[in-house]
Amino acid sequence: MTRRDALLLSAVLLLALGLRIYDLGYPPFRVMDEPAHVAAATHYWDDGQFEPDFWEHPPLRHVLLYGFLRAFGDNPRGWRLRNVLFGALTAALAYLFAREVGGGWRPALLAGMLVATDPLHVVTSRYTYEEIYGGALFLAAIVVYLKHRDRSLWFVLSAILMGCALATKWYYVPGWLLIWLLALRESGNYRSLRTAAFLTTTWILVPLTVYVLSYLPWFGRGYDVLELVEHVVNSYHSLQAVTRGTFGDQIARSPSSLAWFTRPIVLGQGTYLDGGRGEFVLFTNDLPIWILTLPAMIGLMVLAARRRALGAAMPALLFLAGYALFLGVERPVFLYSAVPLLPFAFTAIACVVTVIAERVGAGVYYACLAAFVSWNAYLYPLVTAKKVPMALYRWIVEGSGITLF
Amino acid sequence: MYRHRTAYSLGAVALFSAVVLAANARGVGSRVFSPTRTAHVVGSPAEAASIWLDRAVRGRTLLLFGDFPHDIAFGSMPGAPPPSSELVRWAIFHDVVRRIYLVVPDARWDELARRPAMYRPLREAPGIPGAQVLFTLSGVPLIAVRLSSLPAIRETALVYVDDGVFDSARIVELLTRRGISADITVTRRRGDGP
Repeated sequence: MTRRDALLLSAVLLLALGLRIYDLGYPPFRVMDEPAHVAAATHYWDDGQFEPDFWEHPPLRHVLLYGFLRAFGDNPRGWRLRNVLFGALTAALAYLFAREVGGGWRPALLAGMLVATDPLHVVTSRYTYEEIYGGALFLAAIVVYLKHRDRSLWFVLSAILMGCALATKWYYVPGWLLIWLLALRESGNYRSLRTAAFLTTTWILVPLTVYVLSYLPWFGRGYDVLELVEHVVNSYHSLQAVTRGTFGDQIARSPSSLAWFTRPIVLGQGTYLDGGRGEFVLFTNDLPIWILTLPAMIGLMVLAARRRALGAAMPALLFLAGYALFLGVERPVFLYSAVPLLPFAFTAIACVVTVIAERVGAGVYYACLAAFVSWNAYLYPLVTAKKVPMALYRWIVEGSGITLF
Repeated sequence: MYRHRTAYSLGAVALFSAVVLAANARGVGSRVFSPTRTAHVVGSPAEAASIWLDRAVRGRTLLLFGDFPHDIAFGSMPGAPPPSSELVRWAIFHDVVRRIYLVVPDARWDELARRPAMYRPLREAPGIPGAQVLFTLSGVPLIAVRLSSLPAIRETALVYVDDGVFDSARIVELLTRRGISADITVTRRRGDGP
């Protein structure tokens, strides 16, 4: 890593941290999913119980949150710092990921800045949503994998991180299997029995070990290993049975995942205040930037095909592996489920912008960087419950799917 | 070239096996049974809770001969300690019960199919003809089974019989015939209380 990389990486990390931690104590009471998540963390650690949260998702999230509750107390810092730290780390990891697949500091900086300032990523980093730390662990596994360069211990570390991601949600199963296939394909590894056995046992069994370990408090209730298999199968069937009516009004207003990167989505809650101001917590897909995702994916695939470089297609492959899971779901999906896809989406955008800038002129790159970050800076106070002048934001709020109090 | 490939492969297999065995041992070792076999007749579900609490049983399989335990679907607030009158949720919350077989009279089996909103079947239970795994708020496996399809259960179970729904003497006889052992059998008297 060069000195420039170290400086830029630090800048991205600090910016991401600052945007996420500023005014973290507001509101001073549990909001969004926090009442269920915080109570379940203690209930799981003490008794192996999932209530009042959902039992269908793997329980590492409870263990992580319990650690933060012990370290920082049962207060807004204890509830939210886990996501703040993992959210900020995701921006730094996006820099490293784009540096690895994009080849230069420019795509790395743009991808890192987009994750650091993205309104949805910032908002979900300030509460307790699983997609932040699960996505960070998944991205960390990918970055370590890309940097492992046939070092066995690094490969094991990547597998451990992948296990942690899988033990938060099942979103990451397609990406996990994709990396396994790529590892076998790399340098013809599948032709060597010992190498193929090493890659397979490590990449499959180490994550499963982490997954089983995350259930240790649950085993304390008397369950055996076959009952864990039964639990996983029941979880799958229960998730398949989720319908539009399961989450009531909240999910009914969420559009299909098909719309995430093609239509404006503004959800959340807020209130109008005196003096022409308002205060909102919004979940938005930041369409002016997100709409570039699908064209960028196509562009990246074309570039990778022309260069015959599979590595260059990694953002598109990982994005598609994750997104395909949601496209297969017929019911609406909460918008924040898109969060783990964002580092790959933004890396693709950053790579394509950099390639265009190389042909047209460096000014294109800097103009995009400035425009994207300025736009996200404009949205930041609106989405993070700051008291904003409605004159500046009324056009976004009115006519959207926001719940007003 | 990866180094120490064989060692890492064997290490991964050994680690996974050790964790699985340790987790299994922790689970099985957490189950607490009553040292003596007893039978009780109670007037309310809360009395059954007192008996289980008194015997300090834990991590158990419950054979529930009675109506669908409505408190599973419509009990008190999730996460809040339920009262012992909501026997099933109470037993789940306090880790007394980890698995439930809901035994339904054959004549009332069709009620399950008619009321999917209440019973919310997840899937067919493997190995038990016609039985269904039902949704619960807590994730505890709840397997609805006809009396005629009651499987042989190897583990010593807790038994709760609602005498308003089943003839308890017949149930005890059936359990003996199926080779199912119970350390605590509770019969709720017909017509007593809510």
